[in-house]
Amino acid sequence: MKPKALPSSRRKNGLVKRWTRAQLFQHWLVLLSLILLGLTGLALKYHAHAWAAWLLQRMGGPAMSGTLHRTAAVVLIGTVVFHLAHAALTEYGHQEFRRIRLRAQDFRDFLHMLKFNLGSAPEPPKTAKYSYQEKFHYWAVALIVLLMIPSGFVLWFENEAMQFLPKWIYDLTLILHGGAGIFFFAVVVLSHLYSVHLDPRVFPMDWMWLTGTISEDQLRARHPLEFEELEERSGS
Amino acid sequence: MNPRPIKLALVALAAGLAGGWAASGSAQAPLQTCTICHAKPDLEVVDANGRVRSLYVDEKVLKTSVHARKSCKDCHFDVKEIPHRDRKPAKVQCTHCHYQGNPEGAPQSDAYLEYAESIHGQEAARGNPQAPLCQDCHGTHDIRHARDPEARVSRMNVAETCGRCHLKIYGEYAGSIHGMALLKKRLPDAPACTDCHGEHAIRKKEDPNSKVYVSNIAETCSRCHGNENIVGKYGIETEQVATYADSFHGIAEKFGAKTVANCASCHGVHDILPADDPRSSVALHNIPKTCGKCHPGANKNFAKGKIHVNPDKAEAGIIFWVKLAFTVLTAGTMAALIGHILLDLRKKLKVRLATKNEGRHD
Repeated sequence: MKPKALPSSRRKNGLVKRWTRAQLFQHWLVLLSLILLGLTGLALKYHAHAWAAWLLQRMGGPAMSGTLHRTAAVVLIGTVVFHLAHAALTEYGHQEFRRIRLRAQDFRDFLHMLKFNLGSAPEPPKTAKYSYQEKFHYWAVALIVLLMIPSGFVLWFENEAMQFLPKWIYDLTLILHGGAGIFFFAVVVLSHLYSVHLDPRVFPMDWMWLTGTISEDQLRARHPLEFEELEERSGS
Repeated sequence: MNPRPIKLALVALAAGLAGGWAASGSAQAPLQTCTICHAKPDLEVVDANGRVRSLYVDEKVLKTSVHARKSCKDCHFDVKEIPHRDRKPAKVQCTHCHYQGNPEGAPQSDAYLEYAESIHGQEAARGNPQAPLCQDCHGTHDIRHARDPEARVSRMNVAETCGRCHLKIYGEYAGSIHGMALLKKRLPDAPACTDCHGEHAIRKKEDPNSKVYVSNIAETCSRCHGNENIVGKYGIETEQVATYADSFHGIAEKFGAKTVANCASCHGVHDILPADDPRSSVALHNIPKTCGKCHPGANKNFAKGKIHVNPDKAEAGIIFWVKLAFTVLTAGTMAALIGHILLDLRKKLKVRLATKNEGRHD
């Protein structure tokens, strides 16, 4: 089965629609909740440093900051539920899910790209809608969110959780939640910094996350397989 | 016949004679005058409360006190006549000499100002007859320097001095690890009352300026328990201070929470005992009860695992290894990601430069 086109018209005035409003909305929710989770979480974790103490104080102290953290967590969990429902219940969402699944080709693309960047391959790998970088990033985020949600609930409902869990599991949960959180932010911030901002092809910023569209030229250069598919469809 | 009036009459006669020399005598003369009566071990009066009070002054005691060179009238300057049976000499005011800038040669100290602001001083000023004055802690004729082991306020004696009024607390303290260490084992590093509560500036625990106010407890305990030079000698770990500061309890406390656990919430106050003592509030079998004071339904799960756990030490077991694994994973991923980005950036800039040059040749 070939992936279908977006429900809306895909091409218009040299622009190609790549993300629907539902996807842009999800991105906004994830963005906002993660910023809030990150600020409150990092400020708590690094409370001994002056900048973190200042931030924690700004956010109303540890108790208020904790409330903000849990509020943002509820928003993120809601987004995850929406995301899963969108993938499971809508045809387009399901197509997108199939497009972002990891395949052996992604690992081959990774090695291919390394070779290209080191000069031993003449051409870069041909990228479809989601590049191996984007897929790795997506799945890293998905895995970590899956770790963060249950561990977060243990920390949130500590008295209830410790009816069943010994103290050392609670301590371990805290380390997991904090460690995974730091890993998460390091990966998310660094990958976005490059792929959305510093990458010479998009510098200073790829506007796709705001408009949902990409120019045909950019699509041809960055996602050739997706462009070919589009041309095929337009031709037919 | 009651022998008492005769005795007093004799004293009066002798004093009158003595007073005659005193008028033209040296500075030492008044001491000798006073000792005519006050050197008699059986000199007693019945005070307003019906209690028998000894008025005997052992000259040797005064001579070995910090006031050895003072005479009676230096402090009892209101005594103008002998005998003074009907005109009771006033309570001695130590501040007559003991103030900052005094010309008497008394120690230059602000202790009296601290005292005035303390709970003791404020209660005394309010007229509470039970509030201690200087003499109640320091003594009267027997005042010695705090460094002097014989002093009532010396390290080893101060608890007993406080205990004269705070008897119940003295009992709790004496049985605690701190009290045992100081009073039984005579370890000079062990805390006496004043190490936690202060000396002249003792305040109620409800006073935010008190050393034992909820928000100040952790700092007060950490003065010893965070100092390797003090507690290290006895095999006590100092990291309890750091692990508390890094815990949810410690963070909340640092940012001003008043209802969060501090050291005393779990370890107790005057009755602190080490965890290996079965009576201790932090003994393994007491942990559920102690945690349960704040955490409803706390059960024995609370005792499974170290409380002051330090995730940066191998003793923390799996907690240490998981933390280390995350550090390695994060650092490794970052390095790989940065490497990947730099390679990509280099190639893209190269390609771009090449296309530019090509454009120029055309």
